[in-house]
Amino acid sequence: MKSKIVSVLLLLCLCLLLVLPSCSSFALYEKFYYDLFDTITVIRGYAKSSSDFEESCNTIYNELQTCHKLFDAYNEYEGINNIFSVNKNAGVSPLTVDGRIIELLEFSKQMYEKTDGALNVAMGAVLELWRDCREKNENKLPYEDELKEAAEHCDINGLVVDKESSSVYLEDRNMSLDMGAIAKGYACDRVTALLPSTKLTAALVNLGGNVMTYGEKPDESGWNIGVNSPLGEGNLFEVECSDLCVITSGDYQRYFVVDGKRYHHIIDPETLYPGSLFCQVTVICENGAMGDALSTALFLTELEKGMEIADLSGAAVVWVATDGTVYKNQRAEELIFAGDEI
Amino acid sequence: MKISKKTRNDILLFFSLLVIAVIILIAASIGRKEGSYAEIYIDGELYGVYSLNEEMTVDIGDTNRAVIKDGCIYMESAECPDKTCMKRGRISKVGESIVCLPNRVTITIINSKEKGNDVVIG
Repeated sequence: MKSKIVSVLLLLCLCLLLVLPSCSSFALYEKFYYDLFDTITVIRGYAKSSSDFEESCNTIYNELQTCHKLFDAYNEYEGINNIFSVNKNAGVSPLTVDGRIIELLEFSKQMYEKTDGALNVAMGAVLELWRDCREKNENKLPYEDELKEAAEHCDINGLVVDKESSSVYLEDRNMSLDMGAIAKGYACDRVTALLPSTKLTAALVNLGGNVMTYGEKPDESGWNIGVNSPLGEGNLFEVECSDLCVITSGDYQRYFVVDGKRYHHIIDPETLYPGSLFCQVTVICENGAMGDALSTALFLTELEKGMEIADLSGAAVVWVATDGTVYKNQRAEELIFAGDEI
Repeated sequence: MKISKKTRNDILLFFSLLVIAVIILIAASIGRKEGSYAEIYIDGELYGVYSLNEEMTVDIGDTNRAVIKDGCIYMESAECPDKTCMKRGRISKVGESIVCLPNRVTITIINSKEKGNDVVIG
């Protein structure tokens, strides 16, 4: 009799064990922010309670907001020296800045070398002309001679970074930095670094197309990311990620129209006009800043050379050429599943 | 044929376990509705959830108007300078979203039978 009771109890325990994983104690939460990097920020994460989630979101938000302020080239903020301040002091004097600016500027210089100049954070002068036209939206393009004049002040060697004294100096008075092609990816990396200290077991942060993923969901799957097809409706492909970043650059994201023709925001340092090789480039890799920089650089680089850069960097890349042809490198081939159209 | 007490108890146990399993399965599937829904947020606060199966027009605050038609949702009008949300066009797949940054409006597709994306970019 006793043994029977024991065996029934054991069976019940087994039953419970089978049921328990389906009622995991972690729930999925989501939060939006609208005031970072001129885009929408979404944080999705698994936490034990909504207060745990809120607390973690605050930690993440604080870091993102600091990055937003540090890398802002167009506004100044009280009490900090940011990219705007660096630009203002161009040709005047070196400026002491936060370690994060030093770190990212040094990395940007490396990316300049790696991409053969396709990623140039020192071409603020040219980008500003395009930005002005885009924002005014008065059916006008930047003047050719203005662009050429601005291009004279885009030499990245004029950017002097001194790690020792944590200072930055722009040698050319008319030169300016624009971190738009790399800052969001870097901010994602900062979030990745602080996530283990939060109460989130798994998280996804989407900084307007710059996505970082952390950890596995309670059911041990990764985060499922869809990449919209620039060619029509629906997804071009989907990818399951954990601890990877996914970044997309597209010619349809930010643009303005002059005489019926669309001019997008990814400007080629060679031609000084929007790149015309691809309509979308997606990069999947471990490092957000690198992924962000690559998505811009590869958008402006011929496929064959771009493929080389991608492979050397260990990134998975999917290109959609302006004629609609889709290209992938080896690592993308391995990572991507369930492509309907790909 | 005489069934021993031990065997009878085993059969009883087997069936009760089966019943428990079925109940759990049913409980798990309830609450999972079929079809897709659009969640509309203003400033991060949930404004409403709308089935994509019913045609309707949704006034979102005083600034935006969304239309649900043929299983899709799109932004019909928006009081903002860039109209990016209107250019976004029609969405219907889980994880897709429309964002109106100036008015802080977000529309996200959720909860379909198919396995959705956590996020859709590009």
